[in-house]
Formats: sequence, C-alpha cells, structure tokens
Amino acid sequence: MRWKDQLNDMKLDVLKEIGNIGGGNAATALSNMIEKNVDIEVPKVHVVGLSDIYKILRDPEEISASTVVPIKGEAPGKMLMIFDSESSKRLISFLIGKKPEDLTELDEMQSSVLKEIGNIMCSSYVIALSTFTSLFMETDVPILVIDMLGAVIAETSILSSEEYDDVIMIENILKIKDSENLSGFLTMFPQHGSLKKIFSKLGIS
Amino acid sequence: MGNKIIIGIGEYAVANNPSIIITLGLGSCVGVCVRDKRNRIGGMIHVMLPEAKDKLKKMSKYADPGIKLMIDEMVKKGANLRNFEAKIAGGASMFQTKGFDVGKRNVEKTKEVLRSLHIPLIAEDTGKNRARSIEFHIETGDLFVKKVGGKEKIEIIKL
Repeated sequence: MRWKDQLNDMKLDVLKEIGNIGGGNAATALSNMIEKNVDIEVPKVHVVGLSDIYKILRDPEEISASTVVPIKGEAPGKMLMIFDSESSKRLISFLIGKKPEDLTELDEMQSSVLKEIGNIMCSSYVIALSTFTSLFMETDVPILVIDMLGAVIAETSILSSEEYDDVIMIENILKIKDSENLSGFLTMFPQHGSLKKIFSKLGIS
Repeated sequence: MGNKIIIGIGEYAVANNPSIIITLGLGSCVGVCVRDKRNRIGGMIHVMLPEAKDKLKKMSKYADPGIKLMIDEMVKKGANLRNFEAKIAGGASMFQTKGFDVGKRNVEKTKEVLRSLHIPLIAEDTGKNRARSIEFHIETGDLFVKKVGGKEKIEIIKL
C-alpha cells in the first residue's frame, strides 16, 4: 500500500496546516525557553518511499541529536526534534551556561537538558494538534538519540509506517536568531489510522 | 574503482566484480551481504523485518523470503551456491525499546535463513545501540562498517 495514491491536494493542505499549527506552537515554546527569536519556515510535507528516505537528506551520515517523542491517544504517531551538533551544543549553553565539547559524550545534565527541550517542543506541537482536531492525544516518554541523522529518520519511519511502503513526514525548519546560524528540524510522522481519524474529524474523507 | 550502487530500506542489489554496494542508516534493519568468492558475484539486501505474513507486499523488505530472492538472482547471474559466504551488520536497538526488539529478531531470522541455505556466516557486527552504514566490496569481499564513535567522528571497521 502507498500513501501516495491516497492523498489529494486538499489532504496535503490539511497536513501542511497541521505543520503550521503544531510547528508554530513548538517554536514559541523554544523561544520562551531560550529567550531568543525563533523563525519558522513554511512546513513541507514529504511523502517518501521507505527505500528513498536517504535521498531526501543532504547528509545522511551527519551526527545529530534527536529527541524521539511517541504520540499516544486517539491519533498515535511519532515526533522527532532534530538539532545538528553545533545547534545542540549552543542550546545546552543557553540553558546551563557551559557549552559541551563533544556531542557523543554529554553528561547526564547536558543530555537531559537537550532531551527536555525536544520534549517540550514536541509536546507543544501535539497539544496544539489535539486542540485543533479535538482528538485526545498525549506524549509518551521521550528518548534522546545521538547518532547518524539518516538512521534516526529511517528508524522512526519504519516504526510508523506499519504495512505501508511509504511514510508521511510533516517537516518544520526552525531558525534561531543568534550570532551563528542555528537550526533544527521538527518532524511529525502520523500513523495511517491516525490520519484517517484526523481527516474525518475535519470533515474530509 | 568499479561502480557504486546504493540501496535503500527493503531493497537488494546483485553485482559483478568490480562493484561496491552501499546502504546507509541501518538501525534495527540488517544488511546481509553474500558473495561467491570464486566467481566474484555479490549481493546485498537491506532487511527491514523478519518475515512476510502475506504475499502481497514488497518481498525484499523481509529476511524471509528476501534473502532467497537475492540468492536466486545471484545464481541466475552465474554464481555457485557452494562458493557462497555471508557477512551481516545491523540489528541495533537505537531507541532502547522494552520488550519487542525488532533488531534482534531480524538478526536471528537472517541467521536462520542463511543456515537453511547452507551459507556460512563468516563475520558479523550486530546488536548494540549504534546505527551503521555499510560498504560491501565485491572484489575483495571486505565489508566496511561505519558507526558514530567518540569525539563526534565516524569510525570505520573492516569485516
């Protein structure tokens, strides 16, 4: 089965709107935490075949920090908040002062700060989505993974693809106003049953 | 340098010497590399799940029957089952999930399929929680495994 054959322009617009609402809330949450301006780009909806995932990434082997947040409730799915190495280290320094040297060797404090940033952003997204759709949703325990970007995205896709051969990603790019260019990718992976519920709740079937 | 072939999740490729087959981002997936060491014909499959429950789906996603499909294609290209040897990498548990460990099940099923085909497994790098990218050189049979090591460097090991 493929998502590609089941989505029309109207449904794609709904997915983009989910990205707008959720991503906007998450960006506000981040901005409040670090007391800096956070810009958000127009969300992109990717419908990609599982075997083509590595093709949409600029550098699949880039080491980055990802917080994986499972969504539970009436419309389950997964959320990923990904920051590249430099952005992760700067974020940690904004909140606890000292900038870590090595992303692969964070101490407990540093990694929990990073995990909590991801968690708060993903939860804000999910709360907004839950309100927008009036479906009950909540987030489960977050996991911080520091590894190759491509693998984290592939693994999350596999977990949310179920029997489908492709996966939907609603992607938001966040830019943080700072002396350096910091950015993050916030991505939601809905499961297929969840999307059907969301669409029918919004009167599109 | 021969040509480089990149395969994605749930795909396989069969190639003659000299070629390099690559796959990126193996998490719980397993990269199964099989090579006829005399005729230098090799194949790699990126296995995503252990077993296909019904026959309507993309079969190369599964260890069973995906590995067999790849072996059949190698034999069609002139490889001889008696010269086969295998190396595998992957099957990590990246998200430390409790209970259902797909990576481990993928590795177990892969080994079971290889055993049933009488293909000796000569090297493996499986399990743990790090993702892997792999490069399989058909000419030498070398399998290079890339993982995130200390100091934010990618470390490469040769199997």
